[in-house]
Amino acid sequence: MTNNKDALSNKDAVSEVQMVAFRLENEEFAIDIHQVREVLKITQVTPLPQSAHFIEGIINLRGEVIPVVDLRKRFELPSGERNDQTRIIIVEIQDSNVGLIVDSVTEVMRLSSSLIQPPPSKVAGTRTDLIQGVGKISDRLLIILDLNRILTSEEKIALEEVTLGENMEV
Amino acid sequence: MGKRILITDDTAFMRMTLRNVLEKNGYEVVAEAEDGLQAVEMYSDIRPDLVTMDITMPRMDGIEAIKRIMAIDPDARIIVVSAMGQKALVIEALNSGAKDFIVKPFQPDRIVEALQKVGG
Amino acid sequence: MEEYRDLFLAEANDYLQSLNRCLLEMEKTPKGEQLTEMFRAAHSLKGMAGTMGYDLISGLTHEMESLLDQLRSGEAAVDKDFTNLLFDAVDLVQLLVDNLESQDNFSAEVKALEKKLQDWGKQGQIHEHLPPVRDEQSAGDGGAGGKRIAWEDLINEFEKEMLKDAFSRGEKVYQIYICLRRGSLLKSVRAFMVLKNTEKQGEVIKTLPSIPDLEEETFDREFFLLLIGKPDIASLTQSLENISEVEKVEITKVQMNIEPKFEEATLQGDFPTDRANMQKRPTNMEEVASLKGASSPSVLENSNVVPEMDISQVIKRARTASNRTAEKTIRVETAKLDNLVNLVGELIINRTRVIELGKKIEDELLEDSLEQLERITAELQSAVMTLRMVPIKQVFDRFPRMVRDLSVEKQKEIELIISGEETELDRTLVNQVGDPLVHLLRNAIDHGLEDREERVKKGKDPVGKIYLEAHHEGSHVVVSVEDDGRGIDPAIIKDKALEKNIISPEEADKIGREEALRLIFRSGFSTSREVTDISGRGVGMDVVKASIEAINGTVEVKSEPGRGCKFVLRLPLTLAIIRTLMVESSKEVYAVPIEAVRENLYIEPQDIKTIQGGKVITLREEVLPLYSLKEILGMGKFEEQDIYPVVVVQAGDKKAGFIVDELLGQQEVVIKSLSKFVNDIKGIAGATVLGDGRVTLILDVAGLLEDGRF
Repeated sequence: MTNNKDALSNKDAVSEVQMVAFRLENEEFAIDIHQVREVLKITQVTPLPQSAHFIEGIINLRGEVIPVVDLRKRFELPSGERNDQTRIIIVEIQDSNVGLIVDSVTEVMRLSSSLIQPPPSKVAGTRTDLIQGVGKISDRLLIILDLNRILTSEEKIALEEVTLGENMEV
Repeated sequence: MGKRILITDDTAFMRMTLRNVLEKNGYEVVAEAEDGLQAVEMYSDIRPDLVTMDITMPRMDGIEAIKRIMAIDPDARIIVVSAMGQKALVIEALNSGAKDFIVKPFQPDRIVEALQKVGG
Repeated sequence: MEEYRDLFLAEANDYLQSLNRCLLEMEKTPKGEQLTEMFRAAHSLKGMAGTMGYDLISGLTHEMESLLDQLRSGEAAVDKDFTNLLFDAVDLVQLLVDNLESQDNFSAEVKALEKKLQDWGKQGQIHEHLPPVRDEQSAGDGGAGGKRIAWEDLINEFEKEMLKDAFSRGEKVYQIYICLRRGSLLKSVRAFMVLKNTEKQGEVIKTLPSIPDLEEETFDREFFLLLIGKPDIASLTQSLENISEVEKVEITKVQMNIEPKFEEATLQGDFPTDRANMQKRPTNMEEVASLKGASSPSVLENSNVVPEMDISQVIKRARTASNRTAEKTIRVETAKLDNLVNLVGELIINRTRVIELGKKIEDELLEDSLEQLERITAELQSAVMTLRMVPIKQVFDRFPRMVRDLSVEKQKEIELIISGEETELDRTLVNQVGDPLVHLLRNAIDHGLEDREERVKKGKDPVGKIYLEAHHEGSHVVVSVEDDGRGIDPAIIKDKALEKNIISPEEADKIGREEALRLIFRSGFSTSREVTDISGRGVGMDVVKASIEAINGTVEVKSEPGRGCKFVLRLPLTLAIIRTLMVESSKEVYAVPIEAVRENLYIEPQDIKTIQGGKVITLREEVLPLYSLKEILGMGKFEEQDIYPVVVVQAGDKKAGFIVDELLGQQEVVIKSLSKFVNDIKGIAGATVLGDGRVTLILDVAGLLEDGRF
């Protein structure tokens, strides 16, 4: 997906991308809306034994069985409590549907590509596979995810290293 | 002498059209049946020389009626009147004993040809 | 044209398979029928390829067809070199068929092989096999009836046999020409009436155009029948003329030159319509000569008798070449079938749900109708399932050729004995059982069977035997591959496993004969010392086992050292819907395929014994290991209770008890595959969606019992 990354960061100032923004712990993330199929309220998830620790389980999406990833666990964040804000974002990754559990979905936004920067260099080496870039809107920082390896990469991600220190506080 | 014919069709219009064509060509329409069941009853009463039989009808369809008439009279001469696209039904009707068929909307000469060929 | 390609591919592969099969049979015992069938296959391939514009294929098959034709008339000899040449030709056609896009890359090979085929045919003449027509009616009386169709070139071997039979009974052959009135409707039904009436007087062995084309009304007004029998021509003519909209009927006696020694009975002037023909009746020899030299344009090109054909007709015609009855089968896109199966699956699930609800209401009328519903849906399900059943022959058919090639390559004499190839199983399973069988067969040839010298030394039949067998066993299909080779020695297996660190020395001491044999299914195990071309590197028995288990099947191995080895695959009949026992464990519901369930029972704490730290129970003098389902699934810890529900399961010959929280009852479920991201979890066969929308996991008992837990 390096192409995508380049495309995002190299686009001229006029072009815009539409993103779905969501929250995990205290950070705000965003995914390209083209990858988002739908957003569901949290529903019953059937646990999947002996699968990766961040796989919450599987759900039934209109007859199709799809896996659900707990993004908090994926980023090694403390597990949070599920409430009526909790959502499952159904995204399409490599032609398959996958659900992502997030604390809440904040908004759908347009982001000028000029506001998107490549991942900070000091962290780029370790997690380029999960982070596509960082978007900056006034004082908000959005971590733009590259979903392609969210399920396949086995390395554990320490999110603290990803964030930009105190700047992330909103 | 004109052959005696029983017309079977559930629409009055078709019966009238058939009657006109047949009478103009010297046939005698002795009865009109509105469905298969009536046709079977009339056949055993009237014993016509020829029967025209629509396929799709209420109460009893043409195929069943053909089977019953053939059971009553193995020499019965029945001509199926079918619509386009009823190929399978026509074949079933022929297998059940019908002697020939004509296709709606029909041309008078075709009806007459069929009647002549079947009626001998 | 593109849309016909799939059809072409399917048909072409069928014909290639039949060519392969015939060649193999011919190698053993040459028979006339093989030549005939091969001739027909080559002919059909040629026609199909020609219509598709695949000139290389049609050219090559033309040469095959010509050579086969000469052979049929005894002009060339059948020997090993000949079958090898034809095998080469079949392979090349296969190559072309497999590489339709890049066919032209092979034109040099095709040319070379065409030359070889021609050379083989010695100086024998090769004549065209397009249906030419002898156009006797040049004066033109307006009707096509004067035309004499060159039936000789249209009829196949089967029909020729029918003709010979008929002649021997003193029957004659007649061409019946029918012309319908202009603008005739439902022409196919007219043709049907003609056929029906004609068949009262004999047997119609061929029509032009073919029956399917008559059915599809791809003709203008005229068609021909070829009738054999002793008809009363006058009454036949009359009965045909009495069909309305039949404008013209002409019945002509036909002189058929079936084979050189054929003696035509003298022509009796017993029918009126043939007068003209009688007077200018050619002698047999003249007729033959004019046929052979027929360069006149074919009827297909110069008249309306047969409209321009498209490929689907050609293929259909080829399929029904010897068949005068209407096609009894249709080809349906598999995607449509799969969709149907899925929908029925959903229906079954919802039925179960509705029936559950109905029970709560306790209304007698409702119960009655629900019972009806249950019965009908069950019938519907089995009816739909049979739609997808195909004979395992489809897989077996490719093995004789493979075994033959391998036997040549390995210089071992091998006889492959196939039985039960008519056994049916689900199409999806057929697709998936092929590769494991290839591997087992190769394994048998490569490692199992000894070479000739060794067999002779051991006092065995010098020809090694491999038995490939299939049969139904309850709701399973059992497929076995057995050889009479050197067999597998458990002791050697054990040593190897030790050597490769697959088992520990302690384990080695414990395991018995049977378990030792099963070690060959462990990954990393291969009994072959050298890596051979055949069995290849990296693909071992573990892959066979995994792929069979992936379709809910099991593999067993039996062997007697020195006597041979037998692999037995047990496969479910169908994949999509299975009956399961629902159990609850750590607040989740799991479905255990009923095939794996031996019994359910409740046990008390004192029934549980411990052997070497593991729980066991004794059940009718059998000691079974006992596991807590939540523990083996990693979903929780075993908790002490007063009473434990236990499911006794079995996979292969491994048996065990699973302690669950609750036994919930049986239910039919539709297996859904897990997402590709999470699909290789050991012990989970798939998932299913219950009536209330919840997802439940289907356990893979074989997977759970694996890993040397005992």
